[in-house]
Amino acid sequence: MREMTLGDRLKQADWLLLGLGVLLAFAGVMGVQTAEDGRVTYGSIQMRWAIIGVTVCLLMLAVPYRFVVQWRYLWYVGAVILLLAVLVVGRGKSAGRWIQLGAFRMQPSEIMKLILVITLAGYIRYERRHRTFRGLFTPFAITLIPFMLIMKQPDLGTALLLLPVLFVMLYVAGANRAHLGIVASAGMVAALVMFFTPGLLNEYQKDRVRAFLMQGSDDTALLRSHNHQIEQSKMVVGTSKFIGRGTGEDTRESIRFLPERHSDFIFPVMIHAFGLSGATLLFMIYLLFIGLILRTALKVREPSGRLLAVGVATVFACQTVINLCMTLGLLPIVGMPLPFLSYGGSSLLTSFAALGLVLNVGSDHPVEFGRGDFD
Amino acid sequence: MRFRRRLIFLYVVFCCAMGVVWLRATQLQLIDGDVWAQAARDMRTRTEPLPALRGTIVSADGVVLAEDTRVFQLTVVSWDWQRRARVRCSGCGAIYHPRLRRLSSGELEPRFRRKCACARRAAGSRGVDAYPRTRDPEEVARLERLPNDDLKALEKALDVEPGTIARLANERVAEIIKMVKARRDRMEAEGDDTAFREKRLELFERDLLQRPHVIVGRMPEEAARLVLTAEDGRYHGLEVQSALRRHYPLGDFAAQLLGFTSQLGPNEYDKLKAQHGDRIGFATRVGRKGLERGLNWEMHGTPGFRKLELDGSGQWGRVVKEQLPRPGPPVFLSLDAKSSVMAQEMLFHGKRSRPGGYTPLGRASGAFVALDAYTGEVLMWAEAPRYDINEDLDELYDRSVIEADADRDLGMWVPRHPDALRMTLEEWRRKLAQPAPVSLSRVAQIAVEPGSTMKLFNALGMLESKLPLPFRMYSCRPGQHGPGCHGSHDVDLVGAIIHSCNRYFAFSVRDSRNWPTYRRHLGEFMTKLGFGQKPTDEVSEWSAGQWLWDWVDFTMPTLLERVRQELREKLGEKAPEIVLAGLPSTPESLGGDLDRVVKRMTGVVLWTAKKTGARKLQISVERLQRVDRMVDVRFGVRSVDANTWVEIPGTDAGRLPPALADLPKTKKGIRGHFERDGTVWYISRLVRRIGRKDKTEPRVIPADDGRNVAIGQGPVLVTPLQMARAVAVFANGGLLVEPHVARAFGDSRRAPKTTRLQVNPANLEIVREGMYGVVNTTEGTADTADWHLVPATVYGKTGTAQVGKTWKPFDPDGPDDEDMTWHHWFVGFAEAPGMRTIAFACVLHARSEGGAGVTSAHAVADILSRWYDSDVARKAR
Repeated sequence: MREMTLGDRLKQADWLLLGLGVLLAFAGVMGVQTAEDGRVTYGSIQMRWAIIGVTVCLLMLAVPYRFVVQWRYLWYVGAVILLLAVLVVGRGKSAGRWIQLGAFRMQPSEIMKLILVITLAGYIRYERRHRTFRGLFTPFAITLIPFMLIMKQPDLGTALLLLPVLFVMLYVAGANRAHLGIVASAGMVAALVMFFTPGLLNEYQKDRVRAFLMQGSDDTALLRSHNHQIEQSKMVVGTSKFIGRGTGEDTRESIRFLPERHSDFIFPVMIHAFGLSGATLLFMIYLLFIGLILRTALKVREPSGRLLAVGVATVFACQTVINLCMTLGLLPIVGMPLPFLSYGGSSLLTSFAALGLVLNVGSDHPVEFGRGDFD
Repeated sequence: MRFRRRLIFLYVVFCCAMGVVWLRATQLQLIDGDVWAQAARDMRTRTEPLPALRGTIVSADGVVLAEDTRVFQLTVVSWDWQRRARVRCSGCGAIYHPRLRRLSSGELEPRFRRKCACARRAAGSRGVDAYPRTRDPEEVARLERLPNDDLKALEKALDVEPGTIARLANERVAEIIKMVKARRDRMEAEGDDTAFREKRLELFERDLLQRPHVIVGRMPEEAARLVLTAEDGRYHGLEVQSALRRHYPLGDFAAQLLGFTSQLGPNEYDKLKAQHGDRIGFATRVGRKGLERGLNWEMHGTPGFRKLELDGSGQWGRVVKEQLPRPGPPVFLSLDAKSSVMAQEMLFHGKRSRPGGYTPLGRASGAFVALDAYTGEVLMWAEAPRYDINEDLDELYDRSVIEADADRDLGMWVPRHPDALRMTLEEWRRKLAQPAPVSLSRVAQIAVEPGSTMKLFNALGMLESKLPLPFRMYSCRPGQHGPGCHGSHDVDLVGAIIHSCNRYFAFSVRDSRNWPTYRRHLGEFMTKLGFGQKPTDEVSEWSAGQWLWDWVDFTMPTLLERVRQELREKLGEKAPEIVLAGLPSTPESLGGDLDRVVKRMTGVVLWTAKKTGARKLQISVERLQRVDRMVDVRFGVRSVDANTWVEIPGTDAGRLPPALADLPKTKKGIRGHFERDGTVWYISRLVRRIGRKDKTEPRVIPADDGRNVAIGQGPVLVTPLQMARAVAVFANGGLLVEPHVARAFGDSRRAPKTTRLQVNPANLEIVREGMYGVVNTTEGTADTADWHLVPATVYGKTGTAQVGKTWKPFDPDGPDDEDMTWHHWFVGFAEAPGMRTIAFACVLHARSEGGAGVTSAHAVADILSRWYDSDVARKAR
């Protein structure tokens, strides 16, 4: 069987999936532009990142994904080194999550999400050990190292995202549900212990959870601090119309008190500008987008490709759901961007890279095995 | 297939999650939309209070006595002040005051670069404006931080010593930091583990540190301009803000009458807002004392507000709604300000009308008040000591009240009250502990022994009793009947008034069989005249009791300390442990025992709690009132006496012997007890001292003895205002007026209130005859004054109350010993054709120099000689 050329890959690629990604990124640029505060032109910067992102996506399409998976440990170690570097030279408003590279800033935890998917996909693809309880140790170890490092930054949201990725990939790879349930239960107990043990979590992280549980309180301290953002977010959502208020001056005025409206809180801006009807359309795009990625996973027969697609779908789905829940007051606030929409070069590039990887998987030769993998 | 099923399961989970999110968005937008819309509207608008001007206080002769003016205040912002700095370029020596944010953000202002030769050189042909804003390391290395102490220009404009501004600001900042630290320590000590503790503390700190705090209450315009126009960061950390302040153009004139205003405390705000609604706003100032308090609601305007909306650029721009404040109406007083000032100068600054007039009393204190005898309108008011109302009393008050509240409210109220930390509670207590009752009006709030002026009412009482007089003609000779008198004479009642014959009135009591009837009539009649009585007019509920609690909070520790000291002095080690038992209630109701000795010595009640056996001390209302007078209560907290005639709260009711009409006759003779060094010794305050063992001191007679009462000594206490009111009865033929100083509020004129007394005009005429003789006959005790200069017929009576603890001959060079002061009275009335008939009372508290009450008569003669030049003196057509 001859090697696939770039032309073959382009022909085979799921253009609808790419189109949806680009559509979301374009919507993101519009949203970010609306959310500008007049000092920084986030919209044009995001547009540049989107163009670079599409280019990265096409580049990812050009490189066979098996090659990417083959060098997984190299990527993994590199990403871990970057995470360690963040702890030393990290910069950021509330937490040191970024590394300054000249005029640009890079967020290694964003890259780590994709690299973890690649690493796990590479590890699990031909393994059967994960179907035993002891066999879960290695994939968990692979995940917990970056998890701890990201927690240390601290970036609770991104760190917590790694766990569902691991669980879902193990689940679709045929791990025993009872084993996973035991580990998940133990994890929950550990989380509770962490919450109530002094010194393990930062006080502000605990306060965020408390604030989430005390939504609607009149407490001045709460309203002026942790609950300010969530109350503002709900206000922005609640004051829109069904068809939205457009992206004009009116909307800009209405959202001006919402912090981080161009990044993690881009969804309230979108729903304010385009209304519930626009939000419904956005939800359907996301549903279709995730559905198409999962369809790619079903389409390919090669295990690492399948796992890659599932992992990427999990990352996108979890990010989407957590971000939306957070902005609507259904979950405590964590630093979690909305895929393709939130402002941020690292996030957008990673998303497009992940999309490129999925396109790559989808455009590869169908490989037939004796039986369906993981069946 | 299993893989497919698992993927489908995951996808369904995702769809469900998205469905929940969609439902939540729908709920927020479609169901709760109105709520959020309202919340958003509230948030994007800001309501600015527009304080209402209080009504101006204008005297009858058109002098503005109080008005609202806008003043500039110098404030310090701790956050910025602590970080104020200068930088100097070590290369060229250019000095610059950078803005803090710029300095810390790594940007350099073009202004500095233009000033700095090194920067200009580095910029070269590009020019400093084109130079990148981010500093390069070399440039930073050249900068040297210097302390910023260049405040000389401002200090010169403020006319203060060099270094004063920095000292004030540093002190203030230190106070604030101390407060923040104390709050943190307290939270830690209390083990406060409530949610968001750190955030609360952070907000509290931020509020305090980033808020301007007043360090100079009023600053001249040029000084304000200096700060406002400085562009080089010279005054970094100092800000100017404007505020409405009450201004009293005549400074210390009638300070006790006018009172002062101050800002509402947070607790007060809530209470008054509930009671008065829109009339109360955040910036509302209320009267604390004097007329400002008594007429608070008459002068109080209705504050307005302005609702502003955020514009697109984030500025508060468009006015959504505006309600302009309604200023309070002016209050027109009946007081003649110019004449009152003249009286003040004459009484207390020794400005004599002519050479050889009365001898000035130097540092005397006292009061003079004159009423329209027919309407009760107060025409003149002068008193000493005085204080300048324009000083920072109001701010002191603001700070103390607010701080007390701050202690309870965890600082959440702070945004309303920038002055919260100006004064610590300890400072406040120290202020209250100052002994001089300078803020109490000696016209209406301090009652003293009336001396011989009491004889007027004693005489009228005897006449009104319709019984034969004790003496038709009394032959008074020195040494004949006991204590000395004013010479040898044969006097009838009129003559006794003219001569001010102590024997006539004292022995009329001792020797007359009719004394029980006299004293009954005397008691009744004096009660009718208002002595020992509280006025009946109610002032508003706000003045009536609310401040009692604040008063107790602030004063009680001081008071208790005094009582402790007193007890330690009296009882030594046997002194009981003092526990504050709260406000008065009868000891019986508490089930305790009374310790009569302690009670009589200290005026407080000692009782033992039944359950715990603890001995506790209870402060009675009487004690509160008495200490109230002792302790400086300049801050308007005399709410125990809430009623008033003149529109100031806290009028002293004075005192009559409680059983004047039913007093047992003293069996012991008084001869020998009255005399000391050949001089009459009258008893007043000494009677309160029980069990005196010092035999060198004179023995005392019961204070309530009729002989003391008859000559105005002992327990009879009256205020000059009460005296003027009572004397007016002789002028107007039996009409009891109600003294008032506010003639009109805005357009509405106030009708005078009078009561017709059932008095026989013939009896009044007899007393008038005596009063005429006092002034206009050579035998009268006041005839030496310059009455010929007064274009009116004057009727009067002198009086002297020798209240000193120890009597000594007057020594003009001697120390000012309060125990040696006497009360020098002159009361009476004056009538002239076409002129108002005025009733007046003058009392000077000064060291005796022989003439005693005659001194006051001289002063009154001088005052009246000028009074008739005033337009106010003429009868209204």
